[in-house]
Amino acid sequence: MVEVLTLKNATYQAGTPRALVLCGDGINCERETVAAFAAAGFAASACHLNRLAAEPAALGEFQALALPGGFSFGDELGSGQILATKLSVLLGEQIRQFVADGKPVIGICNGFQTLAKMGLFNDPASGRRVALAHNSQGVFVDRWVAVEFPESDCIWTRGLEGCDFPVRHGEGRVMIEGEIPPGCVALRYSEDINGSSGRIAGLCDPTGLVFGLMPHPEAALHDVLHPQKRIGGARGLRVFENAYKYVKETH
Amino acid sequence: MSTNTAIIEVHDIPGRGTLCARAEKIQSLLSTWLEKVEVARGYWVTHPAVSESSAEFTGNIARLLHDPVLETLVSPIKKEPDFVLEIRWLHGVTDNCGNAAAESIAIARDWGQKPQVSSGEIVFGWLSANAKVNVEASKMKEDLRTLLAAGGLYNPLVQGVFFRDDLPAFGPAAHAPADDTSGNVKSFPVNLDIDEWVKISSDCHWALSRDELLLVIQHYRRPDIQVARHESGLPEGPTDVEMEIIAQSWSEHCKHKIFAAEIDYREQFDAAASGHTQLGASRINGLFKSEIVRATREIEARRGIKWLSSTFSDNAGMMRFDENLDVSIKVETHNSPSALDPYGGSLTGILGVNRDILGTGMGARPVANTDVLCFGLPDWTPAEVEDLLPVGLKHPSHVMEGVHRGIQDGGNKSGIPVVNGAFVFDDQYCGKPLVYCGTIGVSPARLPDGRDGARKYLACGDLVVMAGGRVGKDGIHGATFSSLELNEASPCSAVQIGDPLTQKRLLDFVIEARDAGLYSGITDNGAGGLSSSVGEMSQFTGGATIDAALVPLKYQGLDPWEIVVSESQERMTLAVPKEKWKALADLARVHGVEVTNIGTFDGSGAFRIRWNGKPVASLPIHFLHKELKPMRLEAVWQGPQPKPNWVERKPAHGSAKVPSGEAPDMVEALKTVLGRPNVRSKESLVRRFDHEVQAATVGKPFTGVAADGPADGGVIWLRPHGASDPWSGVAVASGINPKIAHVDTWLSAQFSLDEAVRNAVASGADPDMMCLVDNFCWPDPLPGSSNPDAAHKLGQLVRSARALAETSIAWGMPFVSGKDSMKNDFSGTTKAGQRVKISVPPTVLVTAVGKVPDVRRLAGSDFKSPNSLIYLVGADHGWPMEGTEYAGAFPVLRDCAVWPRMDLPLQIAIYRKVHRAMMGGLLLSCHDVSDGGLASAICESAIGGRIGCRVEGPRDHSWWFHEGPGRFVVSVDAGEVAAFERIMDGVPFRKIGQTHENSPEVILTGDGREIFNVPVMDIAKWWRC
Repeated sequence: MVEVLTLKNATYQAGTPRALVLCGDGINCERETVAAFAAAGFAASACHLNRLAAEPAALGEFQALALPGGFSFGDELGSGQILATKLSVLLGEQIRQFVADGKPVIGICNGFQTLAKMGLFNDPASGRRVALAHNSQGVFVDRWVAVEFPESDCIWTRGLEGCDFPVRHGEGRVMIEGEIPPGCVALRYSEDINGSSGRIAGLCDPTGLVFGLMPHPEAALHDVLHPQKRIGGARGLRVFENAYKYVKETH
Repeated sequence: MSTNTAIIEVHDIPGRGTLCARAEKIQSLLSTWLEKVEVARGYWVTHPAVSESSAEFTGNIARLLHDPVLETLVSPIKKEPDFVLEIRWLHGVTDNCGNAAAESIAIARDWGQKPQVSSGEIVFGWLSANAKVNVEASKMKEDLRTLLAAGGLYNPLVQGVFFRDDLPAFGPAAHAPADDTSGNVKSFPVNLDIDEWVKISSDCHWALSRDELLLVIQHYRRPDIQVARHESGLPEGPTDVEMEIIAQSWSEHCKHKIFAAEIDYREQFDAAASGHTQLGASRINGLFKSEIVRATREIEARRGIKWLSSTFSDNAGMMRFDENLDVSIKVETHNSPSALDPYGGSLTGILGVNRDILGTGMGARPVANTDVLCFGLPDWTPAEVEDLLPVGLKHPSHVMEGVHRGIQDGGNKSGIPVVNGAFVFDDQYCGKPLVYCGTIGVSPARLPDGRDGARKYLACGDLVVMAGGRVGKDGIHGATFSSLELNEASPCSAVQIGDPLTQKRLLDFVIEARDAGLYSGITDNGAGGLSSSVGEMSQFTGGATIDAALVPLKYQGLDPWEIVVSESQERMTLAVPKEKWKALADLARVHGVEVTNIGTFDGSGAFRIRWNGKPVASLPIHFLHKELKPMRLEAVWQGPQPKPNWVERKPAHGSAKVPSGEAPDMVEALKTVLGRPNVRSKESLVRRFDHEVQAATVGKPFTGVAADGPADGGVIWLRPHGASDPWSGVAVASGINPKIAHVDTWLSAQFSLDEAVRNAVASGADPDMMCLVDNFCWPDPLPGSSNPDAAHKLGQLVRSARALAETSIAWGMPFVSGKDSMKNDFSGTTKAGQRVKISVPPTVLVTAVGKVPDVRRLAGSDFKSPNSLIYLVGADHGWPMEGTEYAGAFPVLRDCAVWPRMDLPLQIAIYRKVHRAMMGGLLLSCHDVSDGGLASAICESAIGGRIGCRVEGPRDHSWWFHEGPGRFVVSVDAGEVAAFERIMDGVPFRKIGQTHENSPEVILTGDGREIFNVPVMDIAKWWRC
């Protein structure tokens, strides 16, 4: 069983990269996200964001950070809106430093929405702004979709080939004002599923470290979870393995 | 407007939001008057800081409340509107969006105290030239309200529509100032006579009967009670706090008095002619004990089952399917609340049953939801609604939309996947929808400190701790209200809106507190509020004392009785050892959960309530829970009856297009049946439920190459939840068959049980590791002047309970939990003044939960490969067409009159063999035959696999369309035929066809001649219409 650990009682072997998965306030995919990091080799723990906010310097002890999926603050005011406010106020500086230190960050579904609202994919210089609007069909959708990994700067998607991931969202239509550099488009749907601009399913920031995506690779770790049980159909683990490789090489 | 209140309007940037869809809907309702409509979100922010600087306010606060890429603070329409109206929550109604906005502002702004924020919609309207001249303003306002309500755009029970020009001070208008008086306790004279009590009980919505009131009188007149009351400073007669607690505790909802009643049962029908099972005359000492519990105890004893951790005693049944884990299951109904406010009612239904699981044993984590929903048919025309539907009832589609949205938010926002369910349509559900909400939970068999996760460990001296949401007037009298018939004047205080965020925080907190060993017992606050939760938990120690003045409130102005019985949501009651209190409170702070110590569990023998230290109630536990004598009721089953029909209406969907006296051709028949609401695909609705959060849903609602074939049940893989076995799982499936309840509830109950089990077996569950849950939703079976056939309805109840018990015993499948809802009637008046009573058909839902030994072996309902052989497994004799989907659309020319009986020992042998074949990897597909019969089942398997097939049978449509129980359609690889047939030896099965090599048609032949030949994609279109 995946244990939800606190900052203090997390135990890990020296030399093993550590991943921190935020939870609380309506986030609900922390368990499977911890499991995904653990399966990729990380010592992974979930931590309530209020705990981290009480001890923000502790973030420096981790080598990867995840904002998992869920319905933070019940999606009120727009998905990710309030969590973005809260993280910006309480942990904004630490998260910026985390990226400046060359450490990877992933935001999945609600985590992506939150990163977008925090402005991590915006570029004030060129006027680029990114938002996630309601799906063009107007409703939440849960289904597995085929995705492709275009050439990009994203460290999380290096060398990956197209596969199937589940999507489970109501506000996943990527909307971009201004130009997006080609190296920042890290994931595309093979066909239009929600009206996303350019079928974009995931973006990275210009450093390639911050990856935000609507599909759920952490829910595609095992073939038995694939809707057609296709052998080799569920390849979500590779996303997390990429982060492990990157951290091992750089830290 | 208060000077401390500011309004922030958030408008969509065209094409980027959903508000334009709202505007379009309003415009379409009012197209004759309106030239244009715009809808904005409104936030009314109240805080002393607001008045200081309005510029700062719009700049910094509004920024927190919108996304500038998608939304704007300035209306894109420059022209001044002709009217502006606000749709606001009424005072006391949960405003999740407003609360979240307040929290966001509090995080970002250092204002000391949290602002008050209420949210709503602002509608800007531009009138057409014609309306400006011809419509009087006051009439227009009235009509607008009516039309918005009729269109389902607002619910007058929880929301208000306010026109701005009527509201010089519109801020506080929607938030009426709370009555400041509180702490009032009224007592009743001890010497009131019974007739006076009956009147008071009715006025106060207590729903207490004459006999129950006599017991109250008797109790309070006891000399020892009088002495005790005098000593503790309580008045002689009962206080309102006491009467309210008694009313909640003895309500049908909490006490299940009908299921506990002594019933004299007899029958009046011709057994020989109909073939229906005769039970004979008998006296039943409580249906629950003598049927359902008896069956479980018999099975436990006979089979020596050791894996039942907890049955019937806790909030849910618990099974130890794995040495590490208990799996718990509970299914509830939330019918009355969903009738009044479909969204709020179903949302609180989901959240409520989630809390049941959270309050089971030492606390279990919900891992899956199962929702079965029954509505009136969706095809009512506006004219029919106007003329035929009683005033005050909502269009069945609006009810469905609201319920569906509540189920969606309840599951999705809590991170609990909906893995199983059904939609059932019948106009008998127009008065009250049935909203069955079920949840599966898991909990560790042993907690980290070694305690058994399935028990409770309360001790005298443990603190009574309320955790989660605050208490308001919402949901007062929910338990007693659901024990009464619904009518036009039903109290709106019974309506509540759930708060998934508060509950999710509570859930995360409870699970962490459980693992840290911070409490000794837990239960949920559901019906009856604190009066029930503390009242029930006090039975562990023999008493409890709480001070109602300590309970945190949403707003001031509640009297002690209201605090004690309020059903405000998202609350758990914990028993906390004194030395753990600080750690628990610290943990709660981390999770943003409010916890309050409101009293102590003790051994006083009574449930005592104080108000600021002063006693206001003392109820001996024995009196409260043990002294109520069972009711005596008479049940007479009158034999099969015609299907009740409260309305003459010609449904648009799937009705006959052939002259009477002729059978349709097979194409017409299948096209019609597959398109009927009970058969056709519900994918567009179901995909809006998150069915795979928690990343363990291996059996999803849809199967097949395009993931659009129907699944028979949901399967959760247990390994991610901590099972020791790498590949085991748990399947959950349901069975419901109200369609033949009027014929015989014995049959409909047995069919429901069989369908649930069959669906579970088709989903990989082992029939020897399977448990059942019963949910009875009945029309009122209690005698009364307006209820002439009560004895028959009670007779139907007896028969269905007996059928469940006998079938469960024969198959060795224990019931572990159950619930009943007994007042599913509505009475009202049509516009023409006609009195109408609408009662649900007697409806039994059976939910089956079974262990799947190996989730890698799930077959799915879809055909997998060409040239595989198709078998019909199960007894293939004729069943009457009464109640079938086919008979609902077409005349049945020849029908058998006698209902065959299921061979129960043979049937369980079939289920064991099918399970063996599936786990042995011999089944390519496995699908149950139910609504729409064999022909529909074959088409569904073909749709899932996108594979054509040829199936041979007789010409007679009844073979293709009857809905008799006990059957599967399976497909088997040609190379495995011998192995499959060897396993199936000894039970009825036969080869009926095979899948094609490469042609995409479904071909059916009747007595050797082709009667149907249609490409599978065309069939898919009929089904997904």
